Amino acid sequence: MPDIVIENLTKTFGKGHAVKDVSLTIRDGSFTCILGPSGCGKTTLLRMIAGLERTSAGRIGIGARVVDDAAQGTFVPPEQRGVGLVFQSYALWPHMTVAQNVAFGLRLQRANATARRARTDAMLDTLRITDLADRYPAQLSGGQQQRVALARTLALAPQVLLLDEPLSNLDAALRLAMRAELARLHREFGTTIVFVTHDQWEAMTLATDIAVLAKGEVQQTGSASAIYDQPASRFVAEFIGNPPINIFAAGSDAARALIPAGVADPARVTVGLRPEAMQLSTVNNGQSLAATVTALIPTGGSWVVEMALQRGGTPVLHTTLQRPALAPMQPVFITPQKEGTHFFAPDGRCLPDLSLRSKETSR
Amino acid sequence: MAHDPVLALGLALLVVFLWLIALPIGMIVEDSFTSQPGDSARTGVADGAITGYYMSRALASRMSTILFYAPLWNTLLVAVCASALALVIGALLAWVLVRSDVPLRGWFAVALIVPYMLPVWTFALAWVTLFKNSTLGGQPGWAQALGAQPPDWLAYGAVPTIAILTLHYIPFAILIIGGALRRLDGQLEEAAQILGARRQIILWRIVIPALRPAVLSAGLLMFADAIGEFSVPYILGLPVKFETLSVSLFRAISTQQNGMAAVYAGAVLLIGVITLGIDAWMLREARRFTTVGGKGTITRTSPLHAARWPVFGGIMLLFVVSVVVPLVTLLLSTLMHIPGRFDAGNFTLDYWIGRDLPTVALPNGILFSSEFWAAAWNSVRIAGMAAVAAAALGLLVGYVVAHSSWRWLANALHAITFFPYLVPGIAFAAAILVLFAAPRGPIPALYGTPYILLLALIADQMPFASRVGISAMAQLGPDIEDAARIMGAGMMRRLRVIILPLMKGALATAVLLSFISGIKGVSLFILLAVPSTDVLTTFSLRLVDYGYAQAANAVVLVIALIALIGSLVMHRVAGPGLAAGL
Repeated sequence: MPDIVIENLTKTFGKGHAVKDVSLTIRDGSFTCILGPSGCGKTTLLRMIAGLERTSAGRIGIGARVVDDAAQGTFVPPEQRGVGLVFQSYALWPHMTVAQNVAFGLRLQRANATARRARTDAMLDTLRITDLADRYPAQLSGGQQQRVALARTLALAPQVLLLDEPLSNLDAALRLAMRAELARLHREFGTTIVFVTHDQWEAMTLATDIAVLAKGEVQQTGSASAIYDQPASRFVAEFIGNPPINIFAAGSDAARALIPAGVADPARVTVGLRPEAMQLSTVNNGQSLAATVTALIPTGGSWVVEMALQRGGTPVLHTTLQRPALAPMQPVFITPQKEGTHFFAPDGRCLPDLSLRSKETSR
Repeated sequence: MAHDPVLALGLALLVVFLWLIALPIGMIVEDSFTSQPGDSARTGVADGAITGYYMSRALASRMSTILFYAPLWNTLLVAVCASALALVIGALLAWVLVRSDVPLRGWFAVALIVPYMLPVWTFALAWVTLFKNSTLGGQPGWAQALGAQPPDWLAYGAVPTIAILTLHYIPFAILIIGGALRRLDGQLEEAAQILGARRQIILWRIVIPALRPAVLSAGLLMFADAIGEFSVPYILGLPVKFETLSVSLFRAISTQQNGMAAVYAGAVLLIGVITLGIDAWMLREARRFTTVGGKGTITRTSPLHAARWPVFGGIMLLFVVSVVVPLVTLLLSTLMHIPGRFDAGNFTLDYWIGRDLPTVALPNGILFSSEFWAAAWNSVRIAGMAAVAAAALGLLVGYVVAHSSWRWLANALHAITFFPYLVPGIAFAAAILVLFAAPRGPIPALYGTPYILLLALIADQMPFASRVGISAMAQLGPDIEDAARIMGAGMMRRLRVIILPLMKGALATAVLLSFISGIKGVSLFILLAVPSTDVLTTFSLRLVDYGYAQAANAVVLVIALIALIGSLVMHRVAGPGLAAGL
């Protein structure tokens, strides 16, 4: 199975950039997610890997082969790239039954009837849709349609499987089931899987590698935990995490209180604090921020505590697994934990050495 | 990029349409500025040289008023009055049909559309049958036979032309405005209601502004159509010398004044382009507040209370006047020896199935005359082949527009296939005549053959056919085809296995609608058909010219019947939305 190597890839539509100078290596056998808000160029990137869009500049290599190089004029058409793509809309052919949809690609490859039937049956079985074989797409639910789309793509045993927002059209229960299904397929086939999504939950739970994309540019790559624990920028820190990271604006009293001593120009540093990375106490330990509880929100297995800082500013959120022994309007003191505290320069860059120093000073 | 099949297909289509649409129109515009054969004595320059003679004769000579300004004024008068009247009446009816509790609402929704399905000159012939007076020779009209003498202004000219076109366009206004009203989400009104708006305020501040684009667009489309209308003023205008530009164009062609014909064609063309340019501009403006009809488009009906039955009566009267009276009049007229004499002895089936009649040029009833069947076969053959060809070309245009990464190619195809819509049939026929009257390059002279009718009809149907193709392809979306492409299906295979099966419905609709419009079309054919290539419409007009009113009316009834049955089948199959079409 091949690596996918993307170098300095740019795609322009008219005057605007959809994708801007993206370089990315997708490891062989990985389950990589391209994560970003809507309109960040992630679907365009996926379609360029598939060969449905041509690049404006830069190169794409799949394995040893360069499939698109704008400067050289190299372009390998999609059907010769050994990639499969599952569309966000599934794009099932409405005039063909489920079995016909799945068999279509095999028919194009001129597989004989027996082999075709055997492969189709095997795929339907793998995705547990054998009893839907003679139905038409319009008669299927969203989850069933998605499985048909997957079966249709996997029937050709692509080396690279591309998925466009694979779980977006499904309800919560189906999402869990499909998530398990995709993870199983990844194990069974060992295929390199690339999927794009705007849903961080989908990304964090499925992917081995994540690339965060914003405004057509790669913001950060790494494993889910690395991206959460060491965000490269304020954008990434804010985009990943639910509820989102608490942000204390540069120059605010809370930010000043959290910035370790000895930092030059502390008024220009923004501070982020993960909702789980704090301890609440009813006594002031000298290092904490004074606040008032404004709401206690149950979210199923956990709780969210909403607080207003006494010095003002945006509300602070805290998540905890235990039911907090607090009541609304109760005064409370917040003690941040260093692991969940991040510092950002005015341009949004994370200041990692500052984080390090803040750990040292706390010891 | 040289191997891109979409680009190759798109360029091929562009060449075909440049030849079939742009070239003839370019040539007729050129003709209005070049001295035509035999005119050199008047223009003062050699044949084929550039001259301003035709323009100045039309626009700034002692004859201008008669030659140009009077027909122009008549054309605008008819078009403005008919489209404005149809718009007002159609909007009222649309509201009643969509939002009120008038009895037989569902039935009226179909029945009131019928006048639009009939060829418009059906009404003109019925009008003549009823109101003809002694100004015109030949057999008397019914009113005359019953002892009344209808005045000229009622029998001929502007008033009946406007009345007939109004009746013909009302269904069109109902279809467009009613459609918009139906799509208007009831929640928009409920939202205003919850905020405390009274019904008057909701009507004036919410409903009417939201419908304005549809109303204005319907008005402009009717206006553009009326500009080029030929058959009604041709039949009703002659006795009182009431000419519109399209009739002047016809007369100029039939008297070999090609230069003047080109000027008329250019004038009609210009008005059409301006009107539809305004329409296109307004549509773009209107897109700003496209009402997104999500779910819950609940439309509530408003009770009419005491007005319920009077409104019902009014609509029924309109139905009787615009459908029952014309058709019954025509039918009875074909069954009577002498018009308007309701004696038992005066009724006959001779004009349908008689033999050895005193009408010299047509000695048998039409069902026994070979000319009728030859014309019918020509109609079916030409309209059928043109419909299939146009739909297929339309599909290909849609394919290229949806897929080409070259915007200019998509835009060029979009524009050029729509162009015949701006050109009234008779002006387009004149242009086609200019192109095909003489052999050009590898193409022999086609005048006098059925091919010239076929080509003209294909080009004439392209605006509709390409719109069907483009919108059907757009609805299909790119994914469904990309999914096949990524598996290695080539373009022809995708067209055959994916696109065609999915477009069957849209294609069938396009073919049937084109066929109907080809069967009942007259202005396109009147210049191009010769007796041996007569289609039903030109055959019936020839019978009108011979003064064989009964036989002419019988042929028109047959055409009306075909058009009506086809449209009703269409309505059943595709619903009223598509039937609105163009």
